[in-house]
Amino acid sequence: MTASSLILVIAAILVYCGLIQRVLDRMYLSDRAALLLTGLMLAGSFLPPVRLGRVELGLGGGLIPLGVCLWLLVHAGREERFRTLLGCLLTASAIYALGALLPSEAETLPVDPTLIMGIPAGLLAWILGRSRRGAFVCGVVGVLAADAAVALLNWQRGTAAVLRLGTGGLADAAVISGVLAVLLCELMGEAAERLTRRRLRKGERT
Amino acid sequence: MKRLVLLLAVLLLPVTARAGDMRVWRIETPDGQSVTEICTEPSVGDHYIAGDNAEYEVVTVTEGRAVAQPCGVAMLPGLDWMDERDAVAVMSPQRRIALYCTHTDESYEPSDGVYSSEGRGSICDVAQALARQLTERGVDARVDETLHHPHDAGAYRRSRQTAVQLLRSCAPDCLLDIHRDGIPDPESYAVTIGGQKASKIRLLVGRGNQNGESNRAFALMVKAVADRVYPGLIKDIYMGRGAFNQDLLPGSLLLECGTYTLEKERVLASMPMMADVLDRALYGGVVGAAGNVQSDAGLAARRGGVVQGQADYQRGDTQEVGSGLLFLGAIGLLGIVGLSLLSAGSMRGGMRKAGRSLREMTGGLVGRKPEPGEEHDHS
Repeated sequence: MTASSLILVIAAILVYCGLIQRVLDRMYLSDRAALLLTGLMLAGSFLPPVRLGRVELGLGGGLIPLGVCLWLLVHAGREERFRTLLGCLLTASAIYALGALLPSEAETLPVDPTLIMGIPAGLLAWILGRSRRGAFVCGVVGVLAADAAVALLNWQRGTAAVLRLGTGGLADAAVISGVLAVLLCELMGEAAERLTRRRLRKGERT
Repeated sequence: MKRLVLLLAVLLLPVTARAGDMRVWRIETPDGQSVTEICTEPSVGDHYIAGDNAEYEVVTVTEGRAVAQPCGVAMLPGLDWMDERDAVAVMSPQRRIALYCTHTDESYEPSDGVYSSEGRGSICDVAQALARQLTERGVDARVDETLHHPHDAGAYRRSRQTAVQLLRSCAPDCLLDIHRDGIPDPESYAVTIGGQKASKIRLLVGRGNQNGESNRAFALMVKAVADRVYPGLIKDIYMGRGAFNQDLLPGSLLLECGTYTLEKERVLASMPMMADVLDRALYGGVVGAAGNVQSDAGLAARRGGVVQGQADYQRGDTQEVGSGLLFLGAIGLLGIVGLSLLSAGSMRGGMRKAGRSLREMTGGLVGRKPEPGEEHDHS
């Protein structure tokens, strides 16, 4: 790789890590813990995945994000936990359906297929509970569950495909989806809050 | 009730989305002259470089037809280094190229009897053939044959993991995603080069990512070398919407090796030529890891200890990386300003929030570290 290409790659990693740190900071975590987890996810991205039969589990893109999801579910209240789990199920279904129904050629889609999967997660989490934490869990678990469903169908058809879960590290669709879902939820939440505030102010004036 | 309606709308979103069909789109000039055919929907802003290097930009897209405005002739990189005589082969750096197939089901109907295979499609044979030819030229070529079935919108999501695995395991100079086209007319890809029946290859570059310009420069270098050594091998270059996982590495390309109505044997016959082109475009054509054998007299010129072909590519790449860095900067700035403004409601409040975020992220290295009790902007 040329030196200039290396600079471009490093810059992309830094921008993306900054984004992930900001997102993790919203997950019942201290600033330092969010920074540490981002570093661990980055380090885990360079380690080989754990192989269990036909399943490969990535450390940076699978195990650590799943650990964060588990931590969030444990710390959530009963109602939030139920909503999040329901959101995960619906997100996985939506991602599976999007995969099957949208055009298979990437250039046909208005948004890259890797990015598109975070959209239902963010929308569903916001509708179900206005929760950024729920959005992260829905984004990560939704993608991984959809991938698992595809692998199960492949195996049933006799296709010897390997199920890779989060082996793409920080660049994995599961992490991207979690981050996008939180950002989308935040965007919708802030927009709705500002609209409500404006409406209330108008009401006060009249 | 409102929530239920919204929930149903989200669930119905995929159902209302248009299912993907492999229809052929015709790209024409404003006066109706045919430019090319592509089997997926073009988008406004897509660029196309034809075999004769004429460049077009898609300006309108209507049902089944796109209009592209000619925008001059694409500037291909200079290949003076290929004319050098009495060149001295030099120690070459570790040369690695990684290959994978996102659509592992793709097959060639005349040879395989099917358009798409239930298991390993014969596109994997094409990838293996290219890798074998590269290996013969001293390049460490790795193929990952992980299946990404089914052939749906999730295939690129799944193949992304394969691409990352390849980057992690062998740190390649170049990442190639091997496909075959879905255009029904075999003649659009059939070619005879040096008396041998072969297949043309289309290069696809995703323009929607930070590496878009860098990958375009690489595609132009590949086309320039191919036009010189094997005229007609590279059909054209299409720069479309999407990333095709090319955001992972500058120096990534998607190769459309023939189309499904062409015999696989023709496509396989193109692989030695394509391997030679890639070898020359990336490494100047010096054979052997130690660079002690020359592939062709006078091809690998030595300039200050660097193979000249690679030096040219590096120079071109350096020029294009700037736009990638600008792309990243713009995305970062837009995100910070947008979110800060939205949550604070004013420019001053937004700047305060952005500053606080920066102080938080750097743990106090930049500015004062926020106190634990200090107002937090999120719930």
